[in-house]
Amino acid sequence: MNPGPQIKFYLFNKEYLPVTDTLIVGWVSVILILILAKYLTSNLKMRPEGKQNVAEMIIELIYDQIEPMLPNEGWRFLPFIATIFIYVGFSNLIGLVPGVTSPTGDLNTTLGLALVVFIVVQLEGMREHGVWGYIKSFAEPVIFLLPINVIGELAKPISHSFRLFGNIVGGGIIMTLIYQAAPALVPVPLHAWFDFFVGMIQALIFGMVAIAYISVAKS
Amino acid sequence: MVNINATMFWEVLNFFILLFLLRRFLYTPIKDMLDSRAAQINGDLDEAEKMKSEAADLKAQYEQKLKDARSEAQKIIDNAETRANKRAKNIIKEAEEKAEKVKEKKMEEIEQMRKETMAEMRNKIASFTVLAAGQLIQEQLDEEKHEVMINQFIDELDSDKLGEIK
Repeated sequence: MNPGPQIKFYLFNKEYLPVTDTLIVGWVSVILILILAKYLTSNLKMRPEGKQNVAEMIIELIYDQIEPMLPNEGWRFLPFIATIFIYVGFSNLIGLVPGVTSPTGDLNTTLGLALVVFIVVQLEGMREHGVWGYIKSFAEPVIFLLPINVIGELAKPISHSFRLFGNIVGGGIIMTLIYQAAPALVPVPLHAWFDFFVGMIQALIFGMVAIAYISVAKS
Repeated sequence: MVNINATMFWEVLNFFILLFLLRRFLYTPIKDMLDSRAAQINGDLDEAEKMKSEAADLKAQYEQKLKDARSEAQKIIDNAETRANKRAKNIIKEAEEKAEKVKEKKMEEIEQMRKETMAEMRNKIASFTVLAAGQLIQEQLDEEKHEVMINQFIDELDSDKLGEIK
């Protein structure tokens, strides 16, 4: 048993361009999300009805998470944060489909996203305090805390990515074991727990933590 | 199981493509829609407030007009009442005067008639008295004829029971 991502083929037959099953699922996820978004926002009306309500509800729900932590910048950060919520959430949920591995069950995905968040956090910190002011903030309140602060900052993307990766992969491993032990009926509520509930919670946490990092860097 | 390879780059690229396309297809249209709806609601609320205050003004105006009309009507009624009262008094006064005049005239006529009747009666009584006295004197002259005269008188009464008084 090997629960990690499986290499399916190599792009352009290059050894350094492997295409894993998680990457394929990632591409499929992107396409499905785009189709869904296009469907939800087609024929927008002043008086919302049906699917438009769903789209507006999702966007406003995410906006309501950002605005209290980053006052007056809710709409500025919405595309970034909402894409994290939607992509991570969808990737977690797609694991419900039999035979499909969640892209978030691959460290490459979560670490990639965490590094993007890390870079955005540094840029926002510098934007807020100036480059020198931001660097100086690592040496506060006293200079000898500098290495600890730097290590703490560098640990952020690692904890950020491994939290999501570990939860999804852990759930997947447990589900695989359960399927081997009791293939009938027992996995159903466990799927609801590990794939649906944990998946949604982890997507929420991943996004909220990203907001929190940006908020901390700006304060 | 945990190996970092080019997939990370692809996933990050996926993320940015998704970010770019969702911004175009989801976030911007929804935000524009929410903004324009908020603007419209704001405008509608302002409009409603304006109309409300206008309505209040109009109401006050109409109430004032109604009040004026009521007091005007009351004035007209009061006027009419006063005039009618005055007129009624006049009519009664005129009628009384007329009645008084008629009464006076009638009294005068009655007085006139009474006077005439009295004069006539006096004349008749006088002539009657003269006649009776004349006859008395005539018969006194002749003692013997006294009886005859009485009889004659009685006869005259008999023969002419309803004789007129002359």
